Amino acid sequence: MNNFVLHTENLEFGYKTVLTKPVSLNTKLNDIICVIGRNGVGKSALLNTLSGILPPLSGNIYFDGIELKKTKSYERPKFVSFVPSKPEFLMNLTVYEMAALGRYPYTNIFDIKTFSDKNIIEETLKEYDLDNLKTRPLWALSDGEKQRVMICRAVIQQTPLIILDEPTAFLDYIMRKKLLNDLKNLAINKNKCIIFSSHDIEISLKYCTKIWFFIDNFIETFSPDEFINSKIFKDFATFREL
Amino acid sequence: MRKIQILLKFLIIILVLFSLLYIDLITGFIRIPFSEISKFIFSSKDVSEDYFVLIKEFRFPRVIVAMLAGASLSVSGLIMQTIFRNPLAGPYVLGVSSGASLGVALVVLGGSGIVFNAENYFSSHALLLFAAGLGSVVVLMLILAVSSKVRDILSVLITGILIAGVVGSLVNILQYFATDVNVKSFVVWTMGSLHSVSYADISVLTPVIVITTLIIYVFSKKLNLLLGGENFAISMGVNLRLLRIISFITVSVLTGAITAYCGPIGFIGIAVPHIARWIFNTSDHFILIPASILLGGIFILGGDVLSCSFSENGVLPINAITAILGAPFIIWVVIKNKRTMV
Repeated sequence: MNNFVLHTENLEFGYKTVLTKPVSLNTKLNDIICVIGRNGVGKSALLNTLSGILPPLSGNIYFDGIELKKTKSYERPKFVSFVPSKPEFLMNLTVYEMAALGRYPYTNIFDIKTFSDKNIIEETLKEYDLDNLKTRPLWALSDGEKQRVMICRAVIQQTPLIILDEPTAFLDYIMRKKLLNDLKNLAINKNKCIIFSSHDIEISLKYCTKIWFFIDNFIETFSPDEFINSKIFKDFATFREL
Repeated sequence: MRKIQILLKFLIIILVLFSLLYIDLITGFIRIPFSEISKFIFSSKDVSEDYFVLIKEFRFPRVIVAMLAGASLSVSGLIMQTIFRNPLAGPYVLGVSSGASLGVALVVLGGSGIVFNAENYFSSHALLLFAAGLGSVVVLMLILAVSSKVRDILSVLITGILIAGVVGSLVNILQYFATDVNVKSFVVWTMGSLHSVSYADISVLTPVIVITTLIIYVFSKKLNLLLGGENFAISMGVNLRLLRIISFITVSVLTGAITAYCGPIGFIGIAVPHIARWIFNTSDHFILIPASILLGGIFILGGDVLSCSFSENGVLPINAITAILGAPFIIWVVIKNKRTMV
């Protein structure tokens, strides 16, 4: 197990029915992994399973060598933070409140934040240019800003693993590049492992270090170079049915 | 800085609550002088005999029940809005109050042969509370089933109104088949308002409501996480099923208890949590739960003062007043949330 941040063993996942053959995946710190596949192949199901939202149908998931089933539900958010594809908020939850939710795994039942908790929140908000939006309700923000708040929250959660479900879906071209740049910075400078799904192969290839490709009920692992030279990519690029 | 602001706001709210409490003790068929009420509260000895009886036997229980009702319904509304992720959820509009009424109707009309008197006080009232709570739970489960299939806020709302309609019809049918005596005692019951609750009732209601509210307050952190979405909450380690069960029990007990003793009271449950969010500019349940308790008290005491002061020889039903005060808030919420409600 050693230094794998995330490691799966014959993992089968899906909503009630199994979506792929058992997969064994592993990732290390500083990895940026892009999950690619057509609509409905189970990208979201995989990401939900890895972040502990969806229980695996069989097989094991290990975080830092510790079996997921054996971790307490309140310990899991210290390993992995999840950024949903279309964030849904309720009422006038403000930017600061959302960011502060990232400290929840570390606070007690009455959510008393220590000085250092508050410091982390303030610093990270500044880092993501959000400190002037602090008191704004989230519904009043643009899609790009919402995405930034969610990522900021994931950073505040201080987990080695960050999983994002289609983070680029609602962003324009410039914003996508900026987002992926941010993710790369996180992976390299802050020593994190990033897993995200995307339909945007071209831009993702530039930034990721590894690709998990859904093909024929199986997940194949490529490096970006391997992927570009693979037959799959050529079929893909010429719009041939996979 | 922010903490001081919040404390100040709470202080002002508490002051308003106490002044309304005074005003409500004064108003009624007989106007009691301010000084007598102060004496009653602080020394209770030098009050003239007539006023003492009037305050002790009628006004004081009324004020206590009003505050309990306001607090319970507001907290119920707050929890429902978070759990159903719907700004228009509340115990009255989604039919939870009707469910509780049906529970009461089944006990009173359904030939249980129960007699409400001092001898079997505990058993009869325990049964009544249980029935009201059960009725509430059934409606909540139905709404949860619908809202898990339909994401649309307004569809869920319409379903709630339909459920309330069906439940109301069931009560009518029960009345049709019941004996005269039972119908009479049920009709008296449904007319029950803040004014017909005794000290014995209060001694049952208070611990039930206080304990339930304390329990849900401990779950504030988890409710806060739910504001970020269900999947998000689960990814943060929230046991969603457990949270739902606890919340449903809370809402059922609070709404059921109040409905069993005061009849269905509408619109407080929706309006007050929104007022609390607006005043404190937050969605944090650690603040919103106590704020809803206090503001709910203010809302219903205000309504009670109005209901007592409009007519010369009696009181208007509290439900009519809360509807007139509360319905505009729902319209306000609809307009304000236009962007977030599709």
